Amino acid sequence: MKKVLIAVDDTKGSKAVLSVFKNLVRPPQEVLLLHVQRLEGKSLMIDMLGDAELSTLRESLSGTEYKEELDRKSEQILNYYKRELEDGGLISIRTMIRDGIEADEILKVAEEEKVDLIITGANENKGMMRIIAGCLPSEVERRSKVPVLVGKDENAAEVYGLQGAAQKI
Amino acid sequence: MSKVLIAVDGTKASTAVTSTFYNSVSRPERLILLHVEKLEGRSLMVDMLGDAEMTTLKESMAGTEHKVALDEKADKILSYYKHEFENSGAGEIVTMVRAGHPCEEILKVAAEENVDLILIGNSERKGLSRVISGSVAREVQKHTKIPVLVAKRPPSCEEPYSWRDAIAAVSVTSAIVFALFLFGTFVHR
Repeated sequence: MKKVLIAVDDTKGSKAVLSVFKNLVRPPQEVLLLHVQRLEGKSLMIDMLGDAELSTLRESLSGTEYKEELDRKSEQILNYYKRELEDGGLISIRTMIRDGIEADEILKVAEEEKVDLIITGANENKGMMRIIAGCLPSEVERRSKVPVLVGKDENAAEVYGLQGAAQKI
Repeated sequence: MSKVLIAVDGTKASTAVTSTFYNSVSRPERLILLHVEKLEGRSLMVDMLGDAEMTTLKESMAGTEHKVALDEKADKILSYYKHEFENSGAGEIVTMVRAGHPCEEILKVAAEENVDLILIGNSERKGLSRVISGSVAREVQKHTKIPVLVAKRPPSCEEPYSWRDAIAAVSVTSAIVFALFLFGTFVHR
């Protein structure tokens, strides 16, 4: 296997990619670490933007403090994952930052770089939130042409769920 | 790395698990090949049955010709995949046949055997049929706490002639014929 694309973000669910990668995947020749910046934060507006509007948004954001903050954050995220992977004995790691719609960008990079496998973290949205905001792994899995590994981490399961809280009360 | 569960069925999409396993997965100590028989064939009724009805159905099916045929088919599928994986370097290959709801059975076996990875092929359903019957891969991925690797069939060769090409060919040909016709009348005069 040559190239593996690992899509990461700052959620806990994303950390599952590390253990999954370490334990289950044959060591590849190259690892691509990709972080997609959400220009709109948690707003769902971005799903409605077309290419033209997205590029306008990008232009108007470039150079602003907000964008710098985003860049700094993505550097941090990528550095964290890079370090973790390097500790595992990997040498050739390439990091990448994109902005825009997450699933679209992941698939675009996968196509451009001709990767053999995409690894994403688990989705944390449940119930109503999932219906509204959707599920990134599912979307990538549906539209991808290459195998998709969805990382899950049992340890990352909720420590205090709604039920736990209710019991305590 | 110890246990991998591979869910297979008789579809073409399912054959993608072989190449994906060889390419991407590190060799496990134990490989479980699971085939889930759909007792109702392609009917979607199975999604609506509760546990009680399911057991009744299983009981009433036991020993019938249909069930025997299903078992034969399951054996065939599993022996095919077992053969495929024999030289993979995996420690021990176990085959399993279950009956019932595919997603539930896969999750049950995964929990019982305490597997580390579920590998599953992707049904390439599109549009309405996907909305109606859903995707087993998606459902498994949604309900489990175990990593899921969804295998994809390499994009089959693109259709050599699509309808666009056909229209283009027809229009170019008719344009040429028309031009020749005009040229002919022009020269004739």
